[in-house]
Amino acid sequence: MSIRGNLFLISGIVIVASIVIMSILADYIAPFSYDEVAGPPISPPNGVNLMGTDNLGYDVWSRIVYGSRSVLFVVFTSIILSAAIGIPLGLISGYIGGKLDKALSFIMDSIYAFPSLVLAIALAVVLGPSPVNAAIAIAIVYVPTYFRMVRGQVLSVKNEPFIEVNRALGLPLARMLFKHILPHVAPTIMVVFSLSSTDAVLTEAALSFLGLSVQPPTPDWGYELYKGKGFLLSGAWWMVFFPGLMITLLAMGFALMSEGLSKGEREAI
Amino acid sequence: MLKIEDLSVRYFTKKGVVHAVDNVSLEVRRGEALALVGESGSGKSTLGFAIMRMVPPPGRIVKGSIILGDRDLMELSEEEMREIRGSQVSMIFQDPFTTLDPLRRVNDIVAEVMIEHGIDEGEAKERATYLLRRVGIPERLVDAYPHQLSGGQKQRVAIAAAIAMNPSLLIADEPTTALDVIVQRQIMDLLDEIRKDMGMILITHDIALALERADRICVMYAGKVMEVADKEMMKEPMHPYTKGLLSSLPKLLSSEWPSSIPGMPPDLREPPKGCRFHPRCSEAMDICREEAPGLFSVDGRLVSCWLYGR
Repeated sequence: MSIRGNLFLISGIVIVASIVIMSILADYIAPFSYDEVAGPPISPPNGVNLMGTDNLGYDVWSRIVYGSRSVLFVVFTSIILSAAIGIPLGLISGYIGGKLDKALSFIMDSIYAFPSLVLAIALAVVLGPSPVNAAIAIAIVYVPTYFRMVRGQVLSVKNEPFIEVNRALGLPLARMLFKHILPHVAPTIMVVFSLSSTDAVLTEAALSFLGLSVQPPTPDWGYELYKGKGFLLSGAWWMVFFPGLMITLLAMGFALMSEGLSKGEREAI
Repeated sequence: MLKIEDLSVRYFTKKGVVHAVDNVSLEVRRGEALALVGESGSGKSTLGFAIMRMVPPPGRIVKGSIILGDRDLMELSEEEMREIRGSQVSMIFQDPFTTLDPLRRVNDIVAEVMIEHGIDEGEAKERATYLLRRVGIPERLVDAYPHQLSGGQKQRVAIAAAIAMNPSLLIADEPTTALDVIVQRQIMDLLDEIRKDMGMILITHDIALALERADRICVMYAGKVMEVADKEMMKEPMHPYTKGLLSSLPKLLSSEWPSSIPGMPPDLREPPKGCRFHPRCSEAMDICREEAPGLFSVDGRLVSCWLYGR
């Protein structure tokens, strides 16, 4: 699969990469600290405060820059965690089959049956509000997505004759799964990876909107959105608009990546 | 070296129990090439998989023993059996176009077997390169992917992987069926040359190939052994089924049409009572319909037919 000419993939990577760089270089990019009074409260965008200030006089742009850290932390932790659980389970379940497969599939389908947001909120409430718990809650919600995708692919790959040959050559289960089946499943995993990141961004925003992720004064886009909501009717659009824009942008970045990846995969076939 | 005793394999399908291999006893001597000959559904491939203890579900070995060296493979755990596969018994399959992992380089495919059987990585890779050269893969293709090879070359790679650990028994399940005739000959020559004192079971439906390449031939029909004899003796078969098989071969220098055996192989969910071949046999007697013949030893061969025993 080549990246050149794949506009979806390129623009997705550019968007996500810029936000990642922004979070790494936050100290240099943000003009103010995230809990520093940078101007009069609720002032609209101006020369000093590019995106205005919030009700406490904090600089919205600076809080967005620092907020990217907790957003990306939760998003990446959750998708890595759900991939780390969902992929091996899907491999084993699909390859071994039988009762184990039935039991695992049943559990995964039960999780999958819940609306993902409702389940994530419920889990986050049970676990208690913190970024790590938010990541765990989101991870649990997306494990079935990986599981189902990987399992489905394994079912088709495991009937390839070369798998039987490898068995006849005495290769052990672990090598079979990770060296011979996983590489064939990898392209699909890439697509699921970026697709579920899109969902994870939105779920994270929702959790933090509800105060179930980072706690103030640490900034997070979803929480900024919640804070700004109260002042929207008095005309302070910038407190809602800019955090919302960032959430949309990041989600779109991941969506473009997944679209580009699946397009690339289709063309490779 | 390999001794199969009273082995039965059944497939427990939803539509009934298929008696695919029934009370088969067989021996392969050291360094010998034994051909298992039979038509589709005769149980020859199932027997091959049974020796590897790899009968696909819903099939199961229901009884019997498979003694390799001094160990009964039926008594080993799955993990012990895994160690035997590839190191003491190996298998080559029919279609080389699908039996190599398309995402791995050929050198890695061969080296992997050795690594998993305890040879360290550097040595395994070196030995893989040596083996590939021995089976006739040009130096420049050692790091190639399978799709870059021809069908014959792929089968050579599969052979290199199968013999990498120098197993005492090699099971070749129709190893040349997917290849054209010229390449068939090359592959069979390679097998003869490379296996040395390895025993080989050559599973084939091609009795002409068996007569040319095997030391001994075992003819199977409907899950039963019909006749076992040395190659030379098999040219003068005794069992009516083997006679039928041989006379169905087209003859190049004769104007005669090859004859065929009337009827169809039986449904193995309900095999015929008595001898399984009797409904198609021109010499069937009363006893053939009632009682299955054992394997009678006649003039240095084994025949399962009432014509030769009592």
